[in-house]
Amino acid sequence: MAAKTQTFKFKRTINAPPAEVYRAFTNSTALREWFCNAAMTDPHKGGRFYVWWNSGFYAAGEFTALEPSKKVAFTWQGRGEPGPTRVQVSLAAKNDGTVVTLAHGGVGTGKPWAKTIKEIEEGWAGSVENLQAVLETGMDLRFTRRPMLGISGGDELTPEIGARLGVPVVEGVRLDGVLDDMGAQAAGLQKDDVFIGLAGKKITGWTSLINVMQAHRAGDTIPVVFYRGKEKLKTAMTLSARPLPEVPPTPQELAEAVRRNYAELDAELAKCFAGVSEAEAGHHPAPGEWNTKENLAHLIVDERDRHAWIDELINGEERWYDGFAGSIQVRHKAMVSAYPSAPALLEELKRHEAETVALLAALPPEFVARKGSYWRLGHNLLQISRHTREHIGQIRATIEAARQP
Amino acid sequence: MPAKTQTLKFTRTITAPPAEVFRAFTHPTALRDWLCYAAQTDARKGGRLYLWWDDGYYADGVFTAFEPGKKLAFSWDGMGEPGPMRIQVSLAAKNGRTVVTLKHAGIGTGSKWADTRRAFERAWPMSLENLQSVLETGVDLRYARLPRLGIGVADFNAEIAAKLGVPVTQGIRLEITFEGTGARAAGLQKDDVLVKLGGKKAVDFPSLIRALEGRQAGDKVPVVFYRGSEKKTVSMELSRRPIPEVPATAAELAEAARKLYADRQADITKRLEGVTEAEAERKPAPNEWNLKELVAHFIACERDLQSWVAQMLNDREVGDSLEFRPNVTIRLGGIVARYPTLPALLEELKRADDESVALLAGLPPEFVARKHLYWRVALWITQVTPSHLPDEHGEQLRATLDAARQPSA
Repeated sequence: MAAKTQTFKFKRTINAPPAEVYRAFTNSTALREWFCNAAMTDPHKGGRFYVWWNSGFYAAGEFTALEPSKKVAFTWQGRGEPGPTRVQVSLAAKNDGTVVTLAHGGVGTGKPWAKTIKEIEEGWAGSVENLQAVLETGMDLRFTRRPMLGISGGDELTPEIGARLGVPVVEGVRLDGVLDDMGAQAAGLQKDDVFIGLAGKKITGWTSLINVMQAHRAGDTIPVVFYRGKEKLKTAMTLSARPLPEVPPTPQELAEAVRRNYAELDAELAKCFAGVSEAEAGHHPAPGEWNTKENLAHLIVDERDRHAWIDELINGEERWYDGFAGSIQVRHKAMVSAYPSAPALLEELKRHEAETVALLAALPPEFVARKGSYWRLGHNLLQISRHTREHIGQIRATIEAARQP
Repeated sequence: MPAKTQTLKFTRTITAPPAEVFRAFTHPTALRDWLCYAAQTDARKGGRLYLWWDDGYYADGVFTAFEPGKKLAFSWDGMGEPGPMRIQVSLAAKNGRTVVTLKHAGIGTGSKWADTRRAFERAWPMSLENLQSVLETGVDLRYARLPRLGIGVADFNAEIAAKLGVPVTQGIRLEITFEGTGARAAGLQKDDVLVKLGGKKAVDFPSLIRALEGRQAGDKVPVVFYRGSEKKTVSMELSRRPIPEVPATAAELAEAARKLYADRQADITKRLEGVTEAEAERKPAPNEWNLKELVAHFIACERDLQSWVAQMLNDREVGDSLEFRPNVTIRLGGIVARYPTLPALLEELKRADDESVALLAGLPPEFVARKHLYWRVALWITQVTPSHLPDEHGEQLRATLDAARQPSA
């Protein structure tokens, strides 16, 4: 039966060369910067195309046409969609920019297709807008428009944490604290409150929390359900805007900004460790908890993984991680065995930071021109201080504990 | 229209706990180690899975049942197949072993389904046999059964053809046949020029690989070759790949690594003996590494090895082709900026090596018991690491050094 099909068209002029727009549809790292949460592609004719989102939606297909800087076409079978469809993208250079025409064809008619049609219409309109933003400014609107709760970290609930807090649930997100002048504070939330519902959605962990955030904008007011100890409470909170760091436009300036941050952190660390004995540095606050040397090893590991990540970004082959899996005790132990004292670890940390700075200063212009990757890299590196300071706090507390009689 | 469908059923009993077998069907790294080339999964009921193979085939689906240690089911929509199907796996503990029952359901009838049905009838028994091998011994049969020809290859072109009196200009000229292999037993010798294998053209590396596709060690294939002007055909048995021995414990692996690293440090120190700092900084060509960057590459590789092992320890998925990337030059530049002299770089390499050894020594028993992961790390250390310097970078190092020592123009 030859069913009737329809085609949906989207057109946008983007101030970026056709080669970069082409890459945005074919390279897995570039695709995730504007379109999906992750992608696997094998960009040759007949090669596979798989994109997926944290929401659980995915689409699989094959490239059917690939003409660099001109044309990309692939088949598309989205999760739960009534049948396969096709996407064709044509690129035309115009002045210094590119006219992108995207046609999503082979879409059926009638009731079984209604939901898919709505998703195609809304999805592509938002996506091509974001494609333009990412290629022109580097900023991913899905991220920059995403509001903030104004909390300073937390944990996914585990039975142990639940028992410690006396909350009668096993799934949720525990707050570590609230940030000044943001929505969570204004709504009266505090440390150790446990979110179980936001905006009418059940909160079972970070993924569900992020999904809620992605569906809202700053200024929206949403209902919040949480536990404070065994008491279940409800309130409403207004979502805050995300303060966005300025990412310096040149790699040299970025390297310098990052270098200054490291210098401050290193000075704080040096102060922490002044006069600390090896015994104090090796003190475990509780069995299984890190001593100060393992904290330093963790910071070094982080720095190393950052080098590898930057390597991947430059290569356009970023790996996909299904969430943060934490650091490994045996790796920290190995590092502490190679750099056995706190001063040796501090030195090694500084060397790694200097490597990061040298790496940033040398970023090639063609990478900087890939604004989505450059902005993401800059944004990530300018956030390091927050994480390091959490560990500086732990280090201070551990040293104090070690000095208790 | 409710079409008639068929179900294929396979069972196999595996000496491994049900939890490990369950993991082998749901964890991306574990799936990749026996079934496919790489996998992505969101391992929960309603979560997605995507499996692909290096020949371009892929299948996507969604987990529709997910009971750890007991059963799972997922939909299967494979590339080029007439329609989606369903895979159901049930696991039953039996005397310390696990009985795996796999049903492949929803296969249609009629001619358009014939190829699909045949492909799965053939593939699942082999895959389940491999699942057993991987879980019980760590050995991936897809690799272990890759046939080995047992030949070393030399250049071949029109000039050499003329010299040997061979009437073709495309072919694979043998340099050597190895002791104990099918090639040796079939009487092949130096300067024979292969043109066909198993009825398929085999005149260069890509066509040879295609000719070997689907063949297993132990298969007998006809080989057509020239010996001088004479065209001959022999029947040759494809040899087995020697399965390397891997150290049985983390401590033994760490000790083996310690020795290999010590040898490598000695080797690299010897190769760089008398090299001046200026020589070590000269690039043979603008886009090529100088000697310092080459040493930095070894440092970066150790760090990547550590982070790769850490990912496995975390039970995290391990990337596919990205396992070990070529390092980008500016990353190496960052390392050189921090350890600016050759002695400083060699010192840092030693520290990086020491750290890898300490990490291997600390691998917990549960990791060693997960044989497919342990085997991968152990193979990397015992097979890949020793050849990295001499085979992959030895020639480069010599050439770079020669170029550095040329009087500059």
